[in-house]
Amino acid sequence: MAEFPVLKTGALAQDGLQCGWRTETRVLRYVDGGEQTLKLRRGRRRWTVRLRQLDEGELARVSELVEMVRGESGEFAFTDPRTGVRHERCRLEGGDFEAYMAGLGDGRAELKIVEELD
Amino acid sequence: MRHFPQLESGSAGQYPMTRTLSMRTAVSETPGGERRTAFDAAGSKVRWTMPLTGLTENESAAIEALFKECEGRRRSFMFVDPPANLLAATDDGGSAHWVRGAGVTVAGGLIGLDGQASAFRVVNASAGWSGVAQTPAVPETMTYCLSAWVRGSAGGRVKLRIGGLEKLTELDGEWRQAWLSGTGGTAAVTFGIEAQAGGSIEVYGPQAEAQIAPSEYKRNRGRGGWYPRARFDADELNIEAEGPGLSVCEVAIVSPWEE
Repeated sequence: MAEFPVLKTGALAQDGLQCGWRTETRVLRYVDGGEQTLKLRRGRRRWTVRLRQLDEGELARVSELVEMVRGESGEFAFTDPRTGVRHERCRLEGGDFEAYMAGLGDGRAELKIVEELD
Repeated sequence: MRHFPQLESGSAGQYPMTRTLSMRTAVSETPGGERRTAFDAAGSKVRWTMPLTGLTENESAAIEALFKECEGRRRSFMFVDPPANLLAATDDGGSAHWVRGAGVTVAGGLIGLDGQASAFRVVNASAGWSGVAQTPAVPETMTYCLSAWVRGSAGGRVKLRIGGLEKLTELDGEWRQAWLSGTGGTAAVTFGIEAQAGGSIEVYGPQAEAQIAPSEYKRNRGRGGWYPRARFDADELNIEAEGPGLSVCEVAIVSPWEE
């Protein structure tokens, strides 16, 4: 299984990492003031990984992952650096991946990773 | 071959540079949240944006000539991704991407410098120099750099080859980077890594780049970073003078994603 690459420092991500959850619920309100809530879809765990000061090799590894999993199509494993838990059924959100090379050793990239939950 | 010109510095691009991979996926979701995806390779593309500064008159004239010849977005040309490794299957010397010379056997799965099973051994049982090679369809007039980390427990030498150029490097039991740069010649450019007769070498991180010296190793599990169906992504090219004999222009190039 494809694995999100580890940086040369051994770090799994850098400062600026965002983690969150997303659910989708419909709230029905009745004339008597009562409410009913419906779960519209499965929940998602989301991470936004912002990477800075990558060398060309590190940036190429991230780019390689995007090509290997075919953008949003395939799954890969991502280890949450805050918890150390390895999430095996992650995928990318959004089909575009922009690798910006500001200079030598200053590659930048941002990826949105999601994991579907039950 | 019509191709985007290399700069006089020997590099194929400049910093800063943006490379955007657009991988198209058709997604459908059921009301219950079940998700189905279908990857659309033909609808996927790669796009580069490069502001080029300090261009000499020759460099800006070459870019302008290519733009005129292509009539903007109309015709395609070969684009060599500036920071990319042009070789395919770089951690698998036994792959079909590599052509093995006479009497050569390749064993993969050796531990490379990255601690992974990403190196391979080339054993040459023939009576002359022989090894593994790739001939990507890149322009023969450009300057390339071929590099690889190599070692040989029994010593010996390794030969790197770019077309008609060759360079020998002495080996010992430690990994060392061997590299060679230059213009391959007038025929298709073959990048070769060869062992001497009866010799054996271990290879990690073979890399060919369109520049004069090696950069960080970029592993390729699939194909190399050259795009024969690239084209300009604008019908307008503006070249601005920034000093005596120097110009600046911004170029956007797009190519279908190549599998």
